[in-house]
Amino acid sequence: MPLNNRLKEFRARINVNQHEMGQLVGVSRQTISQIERGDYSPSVTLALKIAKVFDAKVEDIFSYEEE
Amino acid sequence: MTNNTENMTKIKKENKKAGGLFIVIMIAAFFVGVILGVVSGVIGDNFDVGMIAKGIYDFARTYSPLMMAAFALVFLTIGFIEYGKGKRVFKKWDGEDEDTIEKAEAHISIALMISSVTTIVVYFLAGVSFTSDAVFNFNGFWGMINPILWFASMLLTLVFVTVLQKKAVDLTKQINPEKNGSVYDMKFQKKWEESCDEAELIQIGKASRASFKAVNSACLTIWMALFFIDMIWRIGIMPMVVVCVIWLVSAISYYSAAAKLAKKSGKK
Repeated sequence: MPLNNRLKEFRARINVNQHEMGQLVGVSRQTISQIERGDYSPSVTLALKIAKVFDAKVEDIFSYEEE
Repeated sequence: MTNNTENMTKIKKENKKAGGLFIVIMIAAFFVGVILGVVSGVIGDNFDVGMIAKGIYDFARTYSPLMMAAFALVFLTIGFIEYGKGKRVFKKWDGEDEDTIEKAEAHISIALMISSVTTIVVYFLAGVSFTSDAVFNFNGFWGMINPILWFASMLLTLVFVTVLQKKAVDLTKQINPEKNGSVYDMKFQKKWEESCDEAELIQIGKASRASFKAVNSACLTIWMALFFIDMIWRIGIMPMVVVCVIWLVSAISYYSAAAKLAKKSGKK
């Protein structure tokens, strides 16, 4: 499933590394890395948690494009 | 109703498409089986397989404890080297570069796989040593050395496999601090799984599925091999019983777990 994301960009804005980001949303550093690389699409719950960290909308961080 | 009719049409179409090749494979497998059966019978009737079996038995009686020791020594050394490589790479990691930490985790995975393979092979050779009377015959040079080799190999394998697994798990926990569980804990696997997140649980699921498929293929292949080997060596029903028990346990546990998970996902 092609899910684009700007997680790395948003993460850089608040100056947290992948491990810290993982701690904030309750997942591992590896999962954050996989999301950023596009290797893993987060669940709705996780996407909402991520958006909440940045006080942004889910659609600002994640976008879906038809192949 | 229309959806169900369309669905049934789709199912019939898929079955028809794949069915032809399936029948061809079944017929080919039947003829291969017939040929192998005839060949096994010819070998059994015309070759002194007792001599081959005696040769294997004599070899095992003399050398199986030595093979245990050699295998454990070589492979555990490789395991610890892999662990060491993983640790060195981890120390260079800046906390962000995923390529670096992937290399470290690859070395750790290899170390863990080696520890499991070493345990299985050493246990196998330990059984072979006992069956071939290598351990307690006390005749000649090897008769005196083999009991020492056997007990030392078993003990050192158990100790060093545990040490290697502990080191690999502890290093994994340094890389992933959210992970819980100690190798010494009887509930280690449960605690570790509980500390896995959604992505890691999906990976575990995919790996389990791959393992299930591999066990299925392996059990079928081994069953076929034992079927034909029995024609030559008359090995009895025990080997086939063991393989089929493992096959059954794998299939029943997998489908039971899948059914349980499907039920659970329906609850709020």
